[in-house]
Amino acid sequence: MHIKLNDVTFTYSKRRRNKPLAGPFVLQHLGLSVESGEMLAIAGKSGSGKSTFLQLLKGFLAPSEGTVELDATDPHLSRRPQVFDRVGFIFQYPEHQLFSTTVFEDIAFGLQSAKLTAEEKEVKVRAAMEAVQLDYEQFKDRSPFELSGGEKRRVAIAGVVVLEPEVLILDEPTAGLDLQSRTSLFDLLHSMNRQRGMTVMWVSHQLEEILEHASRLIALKEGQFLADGHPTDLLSDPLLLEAFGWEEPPALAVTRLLRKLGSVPSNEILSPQEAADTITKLLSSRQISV
Amino acid sequence: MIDIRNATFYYNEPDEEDEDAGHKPALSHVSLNIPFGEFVAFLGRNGSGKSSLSRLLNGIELPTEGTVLVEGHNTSERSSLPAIRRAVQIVFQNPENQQVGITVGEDIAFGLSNIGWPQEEIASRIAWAIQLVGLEADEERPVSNLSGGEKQKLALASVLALAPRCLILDEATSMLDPVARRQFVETLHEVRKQVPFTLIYITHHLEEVTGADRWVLFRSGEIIAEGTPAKLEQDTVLLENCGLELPYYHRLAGLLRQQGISVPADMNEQKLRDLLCT
Repeated sequence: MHIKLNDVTFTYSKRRRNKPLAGPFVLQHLGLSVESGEMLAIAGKSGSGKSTFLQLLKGFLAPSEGTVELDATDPHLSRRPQVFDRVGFIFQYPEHQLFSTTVFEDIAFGLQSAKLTAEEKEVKVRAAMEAVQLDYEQFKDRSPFELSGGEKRRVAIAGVVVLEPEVLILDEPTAGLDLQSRTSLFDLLHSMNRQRGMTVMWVSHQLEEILEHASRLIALKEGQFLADGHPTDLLSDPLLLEAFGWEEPPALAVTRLLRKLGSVPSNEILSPQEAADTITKLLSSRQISV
Repeated sequence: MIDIRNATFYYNEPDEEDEDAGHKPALSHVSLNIPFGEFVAFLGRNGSGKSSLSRLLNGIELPTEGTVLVEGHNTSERSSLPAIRRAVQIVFQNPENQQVGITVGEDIAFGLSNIGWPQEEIASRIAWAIQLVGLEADEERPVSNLSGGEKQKLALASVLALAPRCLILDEATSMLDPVARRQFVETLHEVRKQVPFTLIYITHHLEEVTGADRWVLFRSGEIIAEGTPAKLEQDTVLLENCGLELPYYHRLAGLLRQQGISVPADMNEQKLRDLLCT
């Protein structure tokens, strides 16, 4: 699905007849085009407009000015709100919204309106659980409330994935998760992205996570896009880092330093192991020459 | 100040008739002693027991077996609970879940009135707490106008106003952006210089607790290791088992040391540059 924002402005204030739009403006004059299959991270301080921006893409909110187009259709203008069904939205801490007595019921909840037979429902739930790597037989009858934090989050994500969205939006999906759960969540997002060409857009406060997983980064400040580009470029840009008060991720800083001294291929970011190997080689070659 | 003796805890007590119904204890035979003023980090995967233990410390939950003593008071004795709950305060990950006032001042005053702080001293205590955490807001400011980082500072101010002996931060920074997170952690350590208290810090991010006196590692409801960060940092396999990853520069420094290269303990970009360019 192709997503396009044309000069979008948003304010929570009501528009008065024959009066210009009144602020405060949460979002101002946003223009954006997102192709199918992108892995796009959105960063910015709390209050910068990230959540409002995401809610426009799901149709929870309508722009005060400008348009949001999904596959060249403006769902508000053309009165086809069902187009927004093709966008999946996962809130922060989605596991807080689990409510059914079994994992199966929770995941199947969104399918209720679709008039499916029991068999069809089962096929879909099974596929969604497979996508989030939860074993169907092992988990379907369990209570979601007795699962671990990482498993609960998978159930919550399966409840959205079962609707087969073309775009998946996640608001801080790794907050509060441990290392293994974070890693497997991103394995999951990457595999859905590759296999189904699903666009993934997520809000993150972790620059390392963005660097590792995003193919594109949008940085929002005070309701405007301050930067839009590849994370490797943006996160080593001193002006941008300063504007957000960010520190350059160590992996980028170390890679840049070692590249200056030679022998690091371009467009590669070094892991601590690779950096240590490079440093060891550099130092030992010097000792020989001394 | 805190003495946990062989504590076992089940959220749902196991059915007597059905011993092996698959119920596992959230904590199993945990013993831990924390002297006053220590900065301890509770670390481990989701569901490993860190938060459960912190809930035992102020009597929100009671141990199924064993005892939890806070300054000599047993949490299982009802009459001790007011003193224990006053001594041990918790800040959770979502500040909005623990804010009750419309304004900053009301929010801080709530806890103070509850514990019977003298009415005439509440106003000055509010001003003290606001200043202590460096909240740039007067007490009339509506809580809804605060940013995420400011809300978490307010939560901190509200509990510090109660003069806790022990403060537990349960993933208190997980919803903050990197800047707000750094400021919050800096504020916390500034505050500790002025007011002494025991600090228990629960997190998945080791870079926030490199300055702790002690790390306590949890797995499947048990404490599997404890010691200084300098000691535990060397066991990367153990850390990984507990869902933890050392910050980039720490990992790099550890790997270089293994190669016999001497590197400073607090490695950063500048120090790496010095190492390579001399």
